[in-house]
Amino acid sequence: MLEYTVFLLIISAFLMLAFKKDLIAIFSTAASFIIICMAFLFKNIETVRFGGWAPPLGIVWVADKFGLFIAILITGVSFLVALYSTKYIKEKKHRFYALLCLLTAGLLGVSLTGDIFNMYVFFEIMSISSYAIVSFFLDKDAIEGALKYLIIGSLSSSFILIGIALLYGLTGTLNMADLVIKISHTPPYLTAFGLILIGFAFKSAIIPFHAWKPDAIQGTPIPAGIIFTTASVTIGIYGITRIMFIFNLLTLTTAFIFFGVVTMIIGAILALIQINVKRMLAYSCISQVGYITMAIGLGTRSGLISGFYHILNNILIEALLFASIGCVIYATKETSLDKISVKNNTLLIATSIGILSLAGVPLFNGFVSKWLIYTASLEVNPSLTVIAVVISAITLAYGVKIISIFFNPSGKTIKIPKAMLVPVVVLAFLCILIGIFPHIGLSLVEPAVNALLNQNHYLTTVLG
Amino acid sequence: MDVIIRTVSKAIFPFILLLGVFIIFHGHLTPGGSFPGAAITISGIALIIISYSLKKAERIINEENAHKIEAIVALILALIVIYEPVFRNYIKYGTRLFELWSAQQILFLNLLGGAMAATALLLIIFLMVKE
Amino acid sequence: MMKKIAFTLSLIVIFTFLFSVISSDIFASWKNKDVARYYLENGLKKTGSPNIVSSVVWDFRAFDTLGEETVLFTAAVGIFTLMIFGPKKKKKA
Repeated sequence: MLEYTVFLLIISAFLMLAFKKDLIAIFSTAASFIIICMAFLFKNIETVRFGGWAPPLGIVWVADKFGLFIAILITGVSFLVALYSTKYIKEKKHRFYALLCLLTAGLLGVSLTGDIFNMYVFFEIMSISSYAIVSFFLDKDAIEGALKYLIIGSLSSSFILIGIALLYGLTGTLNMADLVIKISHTPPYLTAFGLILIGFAFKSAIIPFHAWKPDAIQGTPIPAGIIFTTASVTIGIYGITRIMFIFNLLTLTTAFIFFGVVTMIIGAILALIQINVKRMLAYSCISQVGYITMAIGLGTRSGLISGFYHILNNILIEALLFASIGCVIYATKETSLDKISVKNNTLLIATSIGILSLAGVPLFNGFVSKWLIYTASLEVNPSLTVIAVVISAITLAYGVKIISIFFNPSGKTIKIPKAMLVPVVVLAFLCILIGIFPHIGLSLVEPAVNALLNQNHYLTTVLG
Repeated sequence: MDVIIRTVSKAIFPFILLLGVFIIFHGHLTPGGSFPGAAITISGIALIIISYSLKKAERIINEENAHKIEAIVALILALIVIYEPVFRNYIKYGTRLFELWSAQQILFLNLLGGAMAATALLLIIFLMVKE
Repeated sequence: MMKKIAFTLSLIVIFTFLFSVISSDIFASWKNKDVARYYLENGLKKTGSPNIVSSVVWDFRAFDTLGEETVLFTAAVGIFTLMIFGPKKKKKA
């Protein structure tokens, strides 16, 4: 049943180019979201065999709760983006929707598959459609960002391919469950591990590999910017976690904590000095990814829970911020902070909810995950908690810069179409809801962490 | 371009197409398959574009028709790969070896994959020449 | 100029190291190749085509080939998004 989501998305991409109706893309993203929600609620772990061949010979898709958790977030975001871009994109709309459907199909394929080369193929579908989307508005910013992203992204994809080829040469199989059995921790295996990690780290913009992100986000249209900062980053972190799951190295502490802390600090400091509001939001996303990486690298169960909760919150907060700032950019066509000044009550409330959640103020959802990260890192090393709290304060500082565009006395009142306000309101409502009742988020995150730590169940379900 | 080049390319173009289509059709018997066969077919059209002009190549295959062919072929290919066990059970020819109608669904998949790769490459070459 | 030389040299060093790691008698033995041996011995019987590459590409792992075709299709759509020049305009220099 689950493979029909990806097939539906790919087919709707073909149909969009032939028939040029927006409704096809909105329908297919909504249908995939509903199918994946039902699969998360009703089944524990499900395998799909393609062509009827048993696992080491053929391709198998394994949907455990971890992959389904990521897939729910991705299809939810892409449905909201499909609604949002009915009004934002005005010309060449059918091409944008076709590329969006292909991007979502690639993202879903990476998170649901149980075969490592299949993961690479869907990663390529996602990468190539995102290179095309970045250059959608053909102005100078877009083409420069797209060129940088293309060159660095192709190099990183080749790193992943070399790592997978090395793993195949050493073990002789390409199935993830089979690899768990056959892997030992000698240097050739660890070389493959490092290569695949570098490839996925490019996609999620951890600090030595983040150079493409601000220019790319500056050039993309805002709906595609939402998908890049939420879904692509999540798939990068999913790839890193899955390869750690295969190698049984879920306790790799020092390198990840180091990279996470450096990403947090540099992302937040560079976000303070930006003038272009899109670049500032891109740097804030890089800083939140630093939190997630540090939390996952702590290696304990509470570290994993806090990291996954912060993935969920990062998606909600960044999508809310991009959507509301996108409404402002749609109305005024300006992107630099010293020239925008608008007055709109709904957008003011939504953006302030986003900024307060980003900084970790109590009563909003950012507080829940940041508190979990503080308590998890307190057990390992108290100086990490100090650094995390200081960076939260810097986050509030640059957040106030974003809100100040609404408090200018010479602002003009703007009107936003309803199709663009609906995602903003829904996301703001979800932020407050998860902030007041954190059990809703925990009921999504805890099965995912349990599925990740329970390797024997995975092996017995796939290999029989 | 020169008269010699034009005449020779016009004479050799059908044979290049024939070689390409042969490699696509016999993908389950000889080395080849859809991707090399499509590359050879499109290199024949590239020969016509180089020696004559783009307009003459467009008289052979039009660009809008290529778009439509690509979308339809992609749909059929996706449907066949989804329901592959059904197709494998229904297209049984027995176990004749080394004949054209031997492997169950690989023949159709090679044809469809070759058509899709060929139209994608054709559109890329047209766009590059139109600059 | 110095940057280009440094960049090219570092790429050469990295890829030479990677290639030497890969080809250091990893691909030279039948020790771990159960799946490949199954494909070679039973490929003809199970699929009916003497070309094992075609049977692996289109039968055992057909889903990856569909993914590759989608990548080709996406590349064609992406190139169309970039088409700046119409058939009638000519840009000056």
